[in-house]
Amino acid sequence: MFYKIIDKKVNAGFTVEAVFIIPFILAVIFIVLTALFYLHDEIIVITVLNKGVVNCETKENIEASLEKRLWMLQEIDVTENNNKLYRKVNIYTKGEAPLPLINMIVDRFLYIDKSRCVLNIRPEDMQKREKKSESEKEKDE
Amino acid sequence: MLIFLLKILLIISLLIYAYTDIKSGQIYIIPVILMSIIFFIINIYIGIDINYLSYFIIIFLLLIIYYIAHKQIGMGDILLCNMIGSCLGGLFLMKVFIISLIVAFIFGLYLLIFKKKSISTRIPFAPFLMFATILCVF
Repeated sequence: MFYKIIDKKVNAGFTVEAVFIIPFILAVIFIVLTALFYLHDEIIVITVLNKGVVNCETKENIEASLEKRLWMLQEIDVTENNNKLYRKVNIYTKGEAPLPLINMIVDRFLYIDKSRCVLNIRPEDMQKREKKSESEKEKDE
Repeated sequence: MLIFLLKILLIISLLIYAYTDIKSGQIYIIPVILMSIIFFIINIYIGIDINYLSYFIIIFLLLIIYYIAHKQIGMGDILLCNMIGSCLGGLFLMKVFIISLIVAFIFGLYLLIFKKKSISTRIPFAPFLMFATILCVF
């Protein structure tokens, strides 16, 4: 009984036909999957960036939410620039898709670089400021 | 050191399976499954990052191909891929599988051009997997 269980065998081998067809099918599937993962990550980066900028989230919060949700691009670099006038956030993410031969079509290193800028003050205040500066200029003249 | 020993163990086991595949065109199921479980446990103990996403993608794709055209590929190759993936992770398996397919493609072209075999004959795939693993490890 034990010998029978141990002695069980399965076929192992590709037909010559399969050897020609399967690489092409797999290459197409890998390229499509890589593109899908990249698009997923790009959408995540854009949504996190927009939410982060508008809700004034901290750099650490943005990084943490990206780390949780990104699939392929694992290296994350978030930079923020806060002024009196505006708040600018830049997200740079980088990842690797090491697929031999397929890297001739799809880049080995994939990256997303997005930035968003939002005014820190309301548009009415901005108009008042502009008017003030114009009147000051006129006075100087 | 432990990872190096793991790689050597994988290559030795692949050598044995390649030999049985060339000799009989078949592979023993139980030793392959046992080896993959052992590799998986050692991996959890060492803490190697098995990229589960790529690992499951390849196994899933192979299973789909097997069920769509089950006369074209054998279940033994899928089990061997499972063993390699559980040993050194999904990304390594992806590399090994693609390289072995490329080598098999070249070998198939050679067979067809010199009319050594017809298009429907079966060729053992375990030696290609072993060759690609050695190429990727060293």
